[in-house]
Amino acid sequence: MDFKNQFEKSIFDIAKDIFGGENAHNKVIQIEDRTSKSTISFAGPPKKEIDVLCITISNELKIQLLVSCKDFSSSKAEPAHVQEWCSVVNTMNKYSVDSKYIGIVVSSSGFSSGCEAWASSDNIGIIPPIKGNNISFTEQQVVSMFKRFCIAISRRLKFPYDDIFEAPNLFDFCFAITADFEGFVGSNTSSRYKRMSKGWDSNFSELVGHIIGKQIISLKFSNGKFYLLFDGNFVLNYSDNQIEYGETKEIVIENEEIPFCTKNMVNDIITFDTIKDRIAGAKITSAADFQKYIEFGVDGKLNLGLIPPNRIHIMIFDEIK
Amino acid sequence: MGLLKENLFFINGSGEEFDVDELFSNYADDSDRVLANDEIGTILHTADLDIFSLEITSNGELIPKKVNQIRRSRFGTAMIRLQIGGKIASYSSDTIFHIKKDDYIIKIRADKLVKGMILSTGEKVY
Repeated sequence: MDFKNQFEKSIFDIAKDIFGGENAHNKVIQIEDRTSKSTISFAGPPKKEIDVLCITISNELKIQLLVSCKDFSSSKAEPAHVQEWCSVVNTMNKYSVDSKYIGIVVSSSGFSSGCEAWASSDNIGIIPPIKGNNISFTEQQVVSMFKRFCIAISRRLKFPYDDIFEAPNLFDFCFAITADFEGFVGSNTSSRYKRMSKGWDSNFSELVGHIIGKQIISLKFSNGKFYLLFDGNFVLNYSDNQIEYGETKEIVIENEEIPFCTKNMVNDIITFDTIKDRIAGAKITSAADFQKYIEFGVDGKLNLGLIPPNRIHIMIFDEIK
Repeated sequence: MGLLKENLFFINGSGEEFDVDELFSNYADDSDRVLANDEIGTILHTADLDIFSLEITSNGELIPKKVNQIRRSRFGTAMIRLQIGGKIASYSSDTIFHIKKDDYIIKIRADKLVKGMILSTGEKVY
């Protein structure tokens, strides 16, 4: 199968993964009712070579998704590109016998602002969404948006869906599914922070949002990693360059070790068990990431510093007054 | 996008308040109701669940509005405090408002609203 570019192939592969085999690339589609007086011409009834995809969303519902894929390296898709697709999808719906068609235009470089009104009035989805500012999305993010839309529409159609075919509901649905990428793009996630079991990159503010107020159950150390165990099966583990956190069903920590433990301004020695006793049952009240180590405020009574590769330092406020 | 959770009250068809967090935890990732659940966030389809948000009007009345989708994003856009009509509330910066301009209506983001603009509902931005 020939593709114009890698972008088209990525879109095709996603559709194939989500909807299965009955998808066609560069397929010529024709209207279903080919005997209507209004469609007679020297070249026969209207037909269109789909430049990317004709996807059968559901054989049972007879709904097809027509995808137009635009990959312009330096310019955005123009209203004419959207208008063309509006015309194709409208004609396919107007002369269908029992199928319904949903149209979507995907552009790797986004859309000019004039595209929105055309897409909205003819109920065509556009990816990426136009959000009224100058945000730009990478090609990979646009592909991720398309994947998100495909999953969402396949599930949405399991519920009553007649309203989807009324303008601007499909346009709005597509917008709602993809709009939150704006916040994600501006989030500055990094591989230093990871959501446990999901594998997603995270950031410090999301970590703080999850950890503040959590009650500490225990602290362990093994193989160069600190493990803070919280109520609700929540775990934070920290090693040299990575902070991983989240809920987990079960965590197995083998070969527990005892880190080097100090306290207060002059680095007095303290035992690991004493630290564990002091923090057990207490809640996290603040957090800081100093890159070389992380520190948590515990119940406003002490700061717990975890310092790779194998040191813990606590500041007990009552003792340093 | 939209009014922040702190500004919203959800009620069921019987008029009883309910916990939206519980709703999110009730459905597995592969449930058809979960339209999206990924590193961007979660979106639930709720059109058939008889869920209403209570929106406060400028004169303090609560108006139930059917909720077809509930969205929760991992990373929202910046928050903005706005007074529109007699109501002061926090909005995400990408919330869309409809503004009267000449003899037509345009969309505008919350972070681009300017004092004196008139919404399509007739309310003024302060």
